[in-house]
Amino acid sequence: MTDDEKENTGGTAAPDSKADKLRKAEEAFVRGLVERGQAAKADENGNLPPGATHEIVGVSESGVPIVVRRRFA
Amino acid sequence: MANIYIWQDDPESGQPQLQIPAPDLNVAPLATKITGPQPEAKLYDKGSDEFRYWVVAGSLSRAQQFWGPLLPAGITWHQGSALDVIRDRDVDLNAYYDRASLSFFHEDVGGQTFFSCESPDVVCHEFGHGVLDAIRPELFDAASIESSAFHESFADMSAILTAIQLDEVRNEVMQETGNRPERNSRLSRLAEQLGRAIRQVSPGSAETDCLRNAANSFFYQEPDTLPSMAPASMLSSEPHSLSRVFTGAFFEALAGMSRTLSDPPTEAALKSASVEMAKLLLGAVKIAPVVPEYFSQVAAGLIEADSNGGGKYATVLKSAFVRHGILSPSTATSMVSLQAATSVSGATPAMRMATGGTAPTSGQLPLQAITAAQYGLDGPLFVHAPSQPRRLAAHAASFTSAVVMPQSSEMAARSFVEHLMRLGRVDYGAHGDPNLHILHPHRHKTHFLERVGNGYVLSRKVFYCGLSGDYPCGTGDRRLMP
Repeated sequence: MTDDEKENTGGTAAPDSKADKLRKAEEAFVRGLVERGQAAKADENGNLPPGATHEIVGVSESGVPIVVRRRFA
Repeated sequence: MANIYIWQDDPESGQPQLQIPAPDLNVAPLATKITGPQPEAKLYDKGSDEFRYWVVAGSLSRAQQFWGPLLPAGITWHQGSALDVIRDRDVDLNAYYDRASLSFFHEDVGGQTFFSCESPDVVCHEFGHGVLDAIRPELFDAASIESSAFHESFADMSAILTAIQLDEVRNEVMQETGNRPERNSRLSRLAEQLGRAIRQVSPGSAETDCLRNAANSFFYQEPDTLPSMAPASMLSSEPHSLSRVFTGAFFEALAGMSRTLSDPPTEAALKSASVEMAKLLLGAVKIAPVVPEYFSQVAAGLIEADSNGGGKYATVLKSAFVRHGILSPSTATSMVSLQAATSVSGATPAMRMATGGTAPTSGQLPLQAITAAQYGLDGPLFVHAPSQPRRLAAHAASFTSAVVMPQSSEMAARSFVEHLMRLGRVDYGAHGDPNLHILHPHRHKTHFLERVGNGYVLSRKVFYCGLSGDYPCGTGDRRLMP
């Protein structure tokens, strides 16, 4: 549907709430870290693998890893 | 104190080492301590471990001397005491700041050993992370792509601003760019040596002439619409990649600030602008709320910080951040103030058509009226709208699996005007309120405004196709081209 058509039918998309936007932004952030290998669990000595900036310290109820920054690379 | 050798900005920026007196790093508020034994201060052969020790010391000292006096009273490293600097922590092509230290690495690539600590660009980048962490510690844990990317950008800005403090760098940049410091130069090219090493092992992970280049035309995109990884020639949501949008705008603004101080810019103006920019940055990051759209908040903070000091750089700041899409033109102008569009009395028949009449039947495109207060105009703007009927359903691709649906004529017209305003292509002439304009004073203009009735008609005067639109290659100009 083009914008012209949307205007004709009066259709509008409901804007995301602020909380939704924030949650999506956070999920995108964590997803990117995991996909790039920048989030990892620490080894038995507490060290992260090279290239990781965040430690995975748990998993949220929705299954998203909980991460804590350890450094800026 | 004996002299030591240092690199200027990077071992591979093409310039020789300099001699400076061996620095004292135990200087508040940003004291550092290189771990391990300190070799005697003297002129060592390059490539030796002792040489690298003093190269690191020279880089740290330069960053300390630049940032230290600019920090608000009482601010120091996040962990409080002198920050450890570990010159060679392990094997990697990397460096990092982790609140406890600045750590650097080495790796053999293609028969050469690369030490990340040897590049002042890299050292001053990591130092910048520490400075920003001292000012806004909450950014360290923010689960936000943009705030992470801004941290990387601030670190790159630290490398650039610190390099400018060297007379040799400024003189070389002015010579290399013909007094146009916004252009690609040794200043814009960050970490040439580390970039070459990374290119050898991962060709898409560094730019063609350095690790990252601040002279770029990257345009802001919402991070969650970007791929999580991409070659260096494209944007991704990876923080270093996305950071280039902000750094590009910063670099352009910095050049504009130096031109505000002296036109054409001089090396002295560039140095003054670098200090002014650092003050504005520190002011901006203090007031910018940490939100997902952090880039725009910091950019707005920069403009606000500048306006608190008289607004000397408002035009060039707005121009740079609008051109890179970090601020919309409406945001940039509304920060000054916004006047509502007014009546169209006195409009021509074509203008009246645009507000409800039928489309003209001639070969000329019909006029579309759009509000223009956000561009500093006190009347509606009439543009030639692409509103002829579509004959084919042709769609562009997007980063998601969806296609980009065609826009309405009005949307297309609005987008086009927005695009022109961002690129600084509209010659306002004497129209509207100059305080509300986004002038882009150093850009060639392709369109001009004509006052008609109580509104304005936007028309093209020329096509430009060269570098930054600097060179005319064709013309639709009816008035100005020879």
